[in-house]
Amino acid sequence: MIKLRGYSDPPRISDLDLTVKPGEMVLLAGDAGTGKSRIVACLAGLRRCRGQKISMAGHRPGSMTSLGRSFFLFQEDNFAPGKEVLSQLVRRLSTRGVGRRRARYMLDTWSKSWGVYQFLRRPPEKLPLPVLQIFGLCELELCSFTATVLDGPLYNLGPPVLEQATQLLLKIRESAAMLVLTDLPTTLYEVADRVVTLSPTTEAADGG
Amino acid sequence: MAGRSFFLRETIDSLLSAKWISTYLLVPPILALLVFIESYLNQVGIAGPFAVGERITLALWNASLLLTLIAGVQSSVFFSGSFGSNWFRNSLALPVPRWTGYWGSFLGFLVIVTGVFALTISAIVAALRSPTQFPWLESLLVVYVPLLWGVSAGLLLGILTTAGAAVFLFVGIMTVGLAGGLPWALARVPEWAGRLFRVLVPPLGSALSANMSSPGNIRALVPLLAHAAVALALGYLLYSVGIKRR
Repeated sequence: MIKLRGYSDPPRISDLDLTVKPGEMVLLAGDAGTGKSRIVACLAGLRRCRGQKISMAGHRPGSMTSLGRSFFLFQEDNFAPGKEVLSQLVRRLSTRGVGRRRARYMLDTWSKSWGVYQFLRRPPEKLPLPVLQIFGLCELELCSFTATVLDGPLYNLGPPVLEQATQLLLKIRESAAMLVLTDLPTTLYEVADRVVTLSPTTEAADGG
Repeated sequence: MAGRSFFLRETIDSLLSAKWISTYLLVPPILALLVFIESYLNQVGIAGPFAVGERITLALWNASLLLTLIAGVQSSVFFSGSFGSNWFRNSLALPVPRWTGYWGSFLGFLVIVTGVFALTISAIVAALRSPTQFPWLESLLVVYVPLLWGVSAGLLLGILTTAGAAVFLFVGIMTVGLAGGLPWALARVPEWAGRLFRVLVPPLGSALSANMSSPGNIRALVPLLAHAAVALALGYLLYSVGIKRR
């Protein structure tokens, strides 16, 4: 469950109430500069949000329990520059309790299924943007989460990978609360359970 | 917990790249140059002649100070870039204790620097004839402390400011710290300024001169250790505040 109660980010957002239940996908849509990334930072416990009731996977944002059950996909900079993506993914999976050897095996199989195996040993800055986006979604498929916050998960993707990624999100939604942030028209509008639109000075309150 | 070593491993992985490790290739030629200068000064009668114990101490301190300079500059650049990057902040959304972002990165850096230190010192030990009574263990511990200080100070400066400014400040502080060991340097300033100088500036020079007269003088390194500890504590405080502010 993802809960935002009385979230404010003046002058952009004055009062936002939002609840995302397990099995639900909520799309938070708004143009660039409407404060979406700050919401992600608050939910990850990377920004102090005073006087607001926020919980992530039923716990305080940034707590180990909350982070252990959650997955965050940021719009960019999910990987460190200059280091091969494979070793970074292995280390990321190890934080989820997946052993090194098993992680390598899983990544080999997973990357082949997405057609990106040949890119595994390259640093992120040498990857085409769609491939980098696919690597960003890797943990989502290989581990299980109860809450996910995805900032622009389908950016840069075109068919047929777009369809594959959409199917992945729908599969994850079955067991997790999913908050998707976007500033572009996306195929997820059609499949999301709710769409909350952020505009300057949003006073949105959804029914959840 | 598996996540605790995340930043340690990330840091080691980064620092093992050619970009960072290649700087240490400067160590052998610079040390050779220092030995050449030392023997030249000895020949013309400006310095020396040195006893065997003094030569070993000088060689160890040469290596230590050179590595301190390189490690401090690298630490300033590395931590300024690392802690200031979006990637680092985004990594804190992984199930990894937040304190490991600081201490794991510091430890990772220290592991690499200690490896280079061990290799350099081994080369020196192998090259020099050793007197039986020389306090090796104490001397090695003593020359490791400046390195620890260099990494800690570079880390603090890297958190405080940009890479360029951090390097400038580090080199400045180290130079002033070394100059403080010259006998005439503090004699020319008022007593209160001298005291303030001793508190604010790392006593690198005085530690060096104390160890030249009595090798393995660990006590002379305690103020420098305190400087390193304060830099680390202050750095952690700033890091803890900073990760919630950005």
